[in-house]
Amino acid sequence: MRTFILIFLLFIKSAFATEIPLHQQQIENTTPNQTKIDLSAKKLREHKDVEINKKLVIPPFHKQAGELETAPQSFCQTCHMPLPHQKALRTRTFNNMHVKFIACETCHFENEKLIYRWFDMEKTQFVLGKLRIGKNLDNENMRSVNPKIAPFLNNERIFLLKNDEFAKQIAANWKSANESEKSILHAKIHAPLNWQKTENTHQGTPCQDCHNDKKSKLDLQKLGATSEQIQAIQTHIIPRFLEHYKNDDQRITIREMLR
Amino acid sequence: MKRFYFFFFVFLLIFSASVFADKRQPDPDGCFSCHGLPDLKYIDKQGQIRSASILKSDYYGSLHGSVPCKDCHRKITDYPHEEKDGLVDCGESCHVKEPSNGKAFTHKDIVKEFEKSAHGKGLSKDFAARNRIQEDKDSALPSCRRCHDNAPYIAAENMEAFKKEFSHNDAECGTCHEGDAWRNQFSGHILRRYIGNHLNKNVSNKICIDCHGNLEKMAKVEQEDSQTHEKKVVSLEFIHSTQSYDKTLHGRLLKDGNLHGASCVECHAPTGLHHGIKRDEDIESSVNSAHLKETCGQSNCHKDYSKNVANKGFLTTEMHNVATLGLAVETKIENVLKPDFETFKNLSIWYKLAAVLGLFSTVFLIGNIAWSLFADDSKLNKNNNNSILGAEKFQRIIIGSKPKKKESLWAKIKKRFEKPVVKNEEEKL
Repeated sequence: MRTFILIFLLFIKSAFATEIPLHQQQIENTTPNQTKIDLSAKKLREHKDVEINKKLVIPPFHKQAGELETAPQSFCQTCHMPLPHQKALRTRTFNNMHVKFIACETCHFENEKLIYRWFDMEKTQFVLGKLRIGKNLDNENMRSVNPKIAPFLNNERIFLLKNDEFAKQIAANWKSANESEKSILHAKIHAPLNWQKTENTHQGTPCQDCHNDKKSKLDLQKLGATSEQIQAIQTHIIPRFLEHYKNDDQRITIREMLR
Repeated sequence: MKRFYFFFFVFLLIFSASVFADKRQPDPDGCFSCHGLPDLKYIDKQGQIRSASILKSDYYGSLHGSVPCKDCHRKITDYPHEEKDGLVDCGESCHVKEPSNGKAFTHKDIVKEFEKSAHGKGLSKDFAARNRIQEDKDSALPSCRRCHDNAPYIAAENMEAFKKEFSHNDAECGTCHEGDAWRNQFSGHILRRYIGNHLNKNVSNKICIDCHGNLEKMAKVEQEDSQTHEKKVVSLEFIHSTQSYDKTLHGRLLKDGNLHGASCVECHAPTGLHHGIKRDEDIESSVNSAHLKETCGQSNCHKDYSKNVANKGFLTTEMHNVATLGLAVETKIENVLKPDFETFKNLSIWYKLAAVLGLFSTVFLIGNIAWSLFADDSKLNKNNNNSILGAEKFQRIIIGSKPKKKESLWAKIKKRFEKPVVKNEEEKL
């Protein structure tokens, strides 16, 4: 009987215990070397805060689709703003489009064992998501900022949420830190991410990791894609077009590429 | 056989009409492959949220819905696009044909007219999304895009009226002009013009009010004097023009949805392409006193009345009369301190008379106060020199007598307000 109660208690504990997200574990276990800290210091020096102007006196000539959501939806967006991709001319708008339905860690956090599921960042629960793709995609009906396709390991989220205690602690530490402390903190937070590991200019996963017709990083079928949608994602013209660029400054004639 | 040829001819005619009719091809370059996607946004270096997602449903129903993107953004061939390649010049011609003459459509004539107008130094080219902030900083003058956006052919608020008015369109126009080709090429264009003239006076006024309704902005406007070419501050009538317009019958009629009221453009640019707005002092201006007879007489309401010599006074009616507004007191004081003699000349005889009488009254009032404060009443009763000013000097120089010791101003005022009770006590003693 005693053994039974013990097993029962252990079961209860494991059922209610929340695993520390992998991202958090890796941040806590990282001691960045001087090269990484210097790299972070350089990035922080180059960074310029911009104040977002929402409306101009002179309105846009063409009516644009959708409004901007300003509330940060994830831990990353606390610092990186609602439209985090700003510098890469070629890909920033396409990447920001994906922010609406893909969690940052899906592209920026690599681990072979991860699986990807639709997750509601506000309600913190799994939900049924919907992919939207195709020639006749209507850009009038905007999708909500939730849910997003996010990475999981053994059904536990690996990513941090903005309201996690650890995330709040980091935000508080950042506010009180001086420049050198910020460099170390920056290096620690970003240590688990792709760009810190590879020091590659392509900080996230390349488009072709998902948009290919061989093996997609995402299990599209499990994410609810129809066979037409899977084909549309795999053979989408834009990732194929972007694949042709050899360096960051290159400009390619559109007509040539769309042929 | 003749019948065969006849039918063959008719067939050819119909076939050729449908082949050569220009159908809408708004995206021949495939721009919507990217720009038709949702959420293509980023924050630029100026902190401006930029969106490359053009609302497809709106664009196809817009004024430029049949214009291929490259007709305006001419030099864009590469991706990523360079801003200089996408600069828009509204005076260029495009691939859409003007239905009435079959020539390439252009806003060139409007631009020419606009350039000669009071707003003429505003931009009509070099437009890019990014330089909107710069344009706003550099100039308060209207540019094409400051007033116009790519509006829908039929505005949402006019759609119901449009459907109602033109429900018979297919049945009646379609009797002769059958088929989608005609509808696509002509009907939208013509119907917008037709319905637009009747329904969008308030919409066109809104364009003017967006700028002229901003009092703070208008107060900063400087106008060049037509003769001296010096910059001068604008009049109160200019600053409050939209407010005073709202008080007129024209403004009130339009506000109530009665379209008999004249819109801003109907008075200020009634002819040509309606972009030649000029200052009233310009002899070519439609609101210059030399042309008011024609301008006011263009409507059925004032047609004969304004041209009748007996109604000359009608044309001097002040249409932007700030007296109709309960302006703040400080504004009125400011106006008094900076009198505008040009305006004074144009005032009615009552205003002029009131101004002169007011001036005299003020002098008498000040004199009265001065007398009551400084005059020595005792002198009046002693057959002395009663002059207030210069009496002492007269005594000293002409008569040669020694004047009394001069009392200080403070002593005089103090003496004036001394308590009469004390005086009585002195008399008793």
